[in-house]
Amino acid sequence: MSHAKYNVINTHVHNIDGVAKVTGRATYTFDVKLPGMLYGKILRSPHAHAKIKNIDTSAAMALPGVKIVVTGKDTLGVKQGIWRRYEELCDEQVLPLEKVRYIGEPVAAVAAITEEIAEAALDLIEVDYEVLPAVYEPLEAIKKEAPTIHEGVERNVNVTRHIEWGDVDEAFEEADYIREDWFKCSGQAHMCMETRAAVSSFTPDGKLTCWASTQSAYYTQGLLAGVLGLREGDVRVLAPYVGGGFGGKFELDAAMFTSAVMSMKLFKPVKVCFTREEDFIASKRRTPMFYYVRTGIKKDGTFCARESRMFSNGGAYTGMGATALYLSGFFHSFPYKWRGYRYDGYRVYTNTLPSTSMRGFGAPQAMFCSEQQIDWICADLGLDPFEVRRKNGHTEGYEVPGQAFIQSCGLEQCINEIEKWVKSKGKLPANRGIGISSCGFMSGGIFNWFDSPYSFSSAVVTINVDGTVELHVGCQDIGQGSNTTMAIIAAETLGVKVEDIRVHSGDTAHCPADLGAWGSRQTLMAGNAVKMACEDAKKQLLEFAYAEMGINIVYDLDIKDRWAHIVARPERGLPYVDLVKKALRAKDGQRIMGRGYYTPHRKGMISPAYSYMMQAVDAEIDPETGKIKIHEVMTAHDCGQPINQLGLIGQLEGAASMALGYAYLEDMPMEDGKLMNPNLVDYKVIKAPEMPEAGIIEIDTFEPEGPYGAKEAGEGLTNPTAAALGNAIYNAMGIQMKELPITPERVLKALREKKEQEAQK
Amino acid sequence: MRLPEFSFHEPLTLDQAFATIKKNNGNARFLAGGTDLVPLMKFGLETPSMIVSLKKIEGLKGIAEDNGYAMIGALTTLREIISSTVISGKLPALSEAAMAVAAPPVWNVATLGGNIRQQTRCVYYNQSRAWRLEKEPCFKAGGNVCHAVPRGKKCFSVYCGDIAPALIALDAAATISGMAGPAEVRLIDLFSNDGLSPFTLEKNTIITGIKIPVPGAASRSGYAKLRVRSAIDYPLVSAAASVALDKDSIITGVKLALSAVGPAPVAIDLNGVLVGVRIDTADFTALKDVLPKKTQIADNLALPGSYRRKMLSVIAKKAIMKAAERAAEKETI
Repeated sequence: MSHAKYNVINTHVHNIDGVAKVTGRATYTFDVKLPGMLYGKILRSPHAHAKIKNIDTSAAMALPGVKIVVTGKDTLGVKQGIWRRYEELCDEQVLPLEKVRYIGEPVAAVAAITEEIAEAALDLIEVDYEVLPAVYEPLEAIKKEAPTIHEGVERNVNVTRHIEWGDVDEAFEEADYIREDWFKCSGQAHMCMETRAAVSSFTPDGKLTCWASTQSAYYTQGLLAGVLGLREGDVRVLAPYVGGGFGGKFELDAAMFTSAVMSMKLFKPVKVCFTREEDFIASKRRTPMFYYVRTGIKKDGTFCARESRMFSNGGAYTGMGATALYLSGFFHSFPYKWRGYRYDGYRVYTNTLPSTSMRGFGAPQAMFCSEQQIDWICADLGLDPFEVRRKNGHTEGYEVPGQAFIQSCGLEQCINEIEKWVKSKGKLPANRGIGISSCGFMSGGIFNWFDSPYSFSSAVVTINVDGTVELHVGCQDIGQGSNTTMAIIAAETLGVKVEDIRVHSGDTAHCPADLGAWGSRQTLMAGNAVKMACEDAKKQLLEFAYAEMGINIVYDLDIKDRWAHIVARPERGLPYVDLVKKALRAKDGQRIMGRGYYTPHRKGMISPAYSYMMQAVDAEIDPETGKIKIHEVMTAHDCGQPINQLGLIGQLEGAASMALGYAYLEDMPMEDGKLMNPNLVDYKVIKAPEMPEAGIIEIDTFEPEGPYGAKEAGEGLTNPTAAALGNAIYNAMGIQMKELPITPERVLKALREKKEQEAQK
Repeated sequence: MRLPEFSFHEPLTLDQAFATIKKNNGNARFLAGGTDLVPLMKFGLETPSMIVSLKKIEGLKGIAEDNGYAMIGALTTLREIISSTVISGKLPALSEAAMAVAAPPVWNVATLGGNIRQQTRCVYYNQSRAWRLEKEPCFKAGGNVCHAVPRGKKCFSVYCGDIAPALIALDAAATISGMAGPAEVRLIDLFSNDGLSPFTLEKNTIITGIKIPVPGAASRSGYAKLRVRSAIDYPLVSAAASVALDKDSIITGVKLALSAVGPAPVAIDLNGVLVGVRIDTADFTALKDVLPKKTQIADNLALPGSYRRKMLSVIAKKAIMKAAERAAEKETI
């Protein structure tokens, strides 16, 4: 596929807000300070399951400096959820009225003149609980005799999801070999640099302004309006800078809700910031999953059928878990062609911290099971794992029956490149192995469970007299660099430089609505909206250029590098800035304004486009301690046309650190529903010494649905890593790791069992 | 989590420091680098009403070699220890142990004395006040249960210091100020082996310095630490060893100390094991026999006790090998 030569796209562009960030000038919600602002703190449940019999706030109210104490009774008691279209999935009162369902659930909030006083007041709130029997694991909670967590929900099954295509049973009949395995995938904390935070200011005109650390200002606006009984338009959400989200920040959180409730009662600004511990225990997590996987294959390596059952630990509420349940099942089939495929997912309520979406959205768990099992099957049958993946992999034009249509697919090239890379490594020393894993991911979801009446993405572009450009977008920069990506697309489309563009985002009052930063959607969806808006503006400008230049209409015009010109004769033209001035004059002083939007139509059930990749992990195992050392991670990656070159490298490295953390370090152990490591000494995120070299081989494809051929890059890169590490360990030591994280004692246990088995033989 | 209120003093002499602390009815704490004390205060585990900083007191800092001894002031930072060529050359276990502490920014403030005198740790104890609220207080928090060993009759918190085992293997002694008894105490004798109150020193005493005999060229030391990550993490098990070789690379003496095995570091009596053999042909299987069969290792750090127990001999061997290789290297020079 030959590409047009781009001036801005895929060039070395620094993050447009980089200077503000590294010099400390960027204003995060944590930095917001308003006149008369009060500080809020949240009292949290120490019980995993308990009835709230009474809450006595009088002693706390009497503490000098305390301005208000609120409980569920001071709210409208709305059961909310981000799956707004489905009432039964709106199951969470942020300040519950009747009972608490996990340790850390908010029960009351205080606002005081200082944070210290607010914290002291929490001790004075008397909550009378009736402790109820609790259940923590999905396979326990689904039993008949398990305690009921939500009234009327049978066996605590929150949502189920069935995906099926082809004649599965018949396809299994054709298989020469069938293998089944059970896997256990752990949870993971999002671990955003910025903890949950909000500053709410309600004014006597009945309007609420809320600065929030959110992945979607628009969702926050809609959800806040819903729980507060306000019109959406009376709620303004500001999120100028957000310190990370990773899937954990697009639901309504307790910082947003309690600050807003207290501000509405006091007509004063109230700030609520979570401590790191609060963020760990009460801001949701990656969904822990139990997977049963049964796969049938022919002797020659052709995949026949797969049947999987998955039980996920939903925790106390739905959140985004319902989407994770679907996507895990869908990507569990990826990136292969199955004649028959059947998935049954059960999301089960438990009395633990709710689980939700997190970078990869259920796919890292699904791939951990699928991609390891494929390698084991290859070993069982003496097949080449590269060849088997190539043979069964998605190709351009393939339709995942009833689910998705694949327009661009560089999977085969990815497999070829990684195969070459692995072979170039030659024979490895003892106890060292390279494992591979392939996968794909979506470029934004097609679903609209939020029931947004707005298009999925929108953009407005306005051109000033000096040629500078105001770009208003609803997509949310949460540190991933979407503002830079949008500036690149705008600069390329308009034919100007990145420094000509000022991006306005994170403000529902001034920016058009957009579903926000989740599901890897913004480059494709918001990118299309920005491109359309800029094309609209450019077309208007060029109308004046035609008139000005008086040329034959058979010629077409374009703007590149601030020069409006005849495409066929680039030397003939006029400066872009002159053109802007002329257009302004000709339009009676109205600025040129372009509008763009994007909503996917007729693109299947999941996403308009899919990225593909294969990753290799080179790891060494200390046979005495079971400890793992990662030497290198190499990824061949098809994200269509890369837009933001540096951003892509940042995403790759960030994903490698997060996914490796998930694979062998990070864990959320609980005892009776209580998280045992809610701090950064005991919760093991990857540190600099553990971070391996992470390389990338870009595979060139062109995605017709994406702006300039672009598709997803960044989230999907977390999908293959745990499986690739598992396969590396399998290749190095011959042991099969079926549980995450792959800790040293699990490695040693597997080595011991292998020895025992060999001794028996 | 915010620090509770306290008064703060910065005396200029040791006498002033003791006088200030005496006035305060015992609810005062000395502050050196603060990397152990401050997190404990944030968790509400230490609640001093007064902090007496030692930072402005002269004569508590510095490294000197004197009459066959290395003398190190207790307020010397880990960074200064790591940067010292005397220590890295002749007392490598100490250098290595200091480098194994937390991460480089911590080295800049954490001190030698403070590191030695750090509190014992436990996942059921090192938690915020809110976390501990609905759990019965454990022994260390003033209660009557142990959550790590549910039927345990005592505190199973773990001494997780990196520096102390290195100093024990190096035969070091500490000089103490503010105590009625002897002013010089062998490192191992600083420890009470009681998780509730891990030190034999009285509360208002200060370690002022460490004195280490500088070994001859044929004796070298090493430190090995098992932890989850190579930065930040406390040891799951660690070992320090000094090994002396004769000119034929035959081991003439081994000193071994373990940390993170219970409420105190443990000096191991090797009972002649490994002595008299060449290091390259040494058989380490006998090492298991001399390691303590009954440790106080419980399920209260990042990885299970059963795993940590298995790792004792592995890590001890690593420390001995490091020391021996260094001693052998020196020999050939």
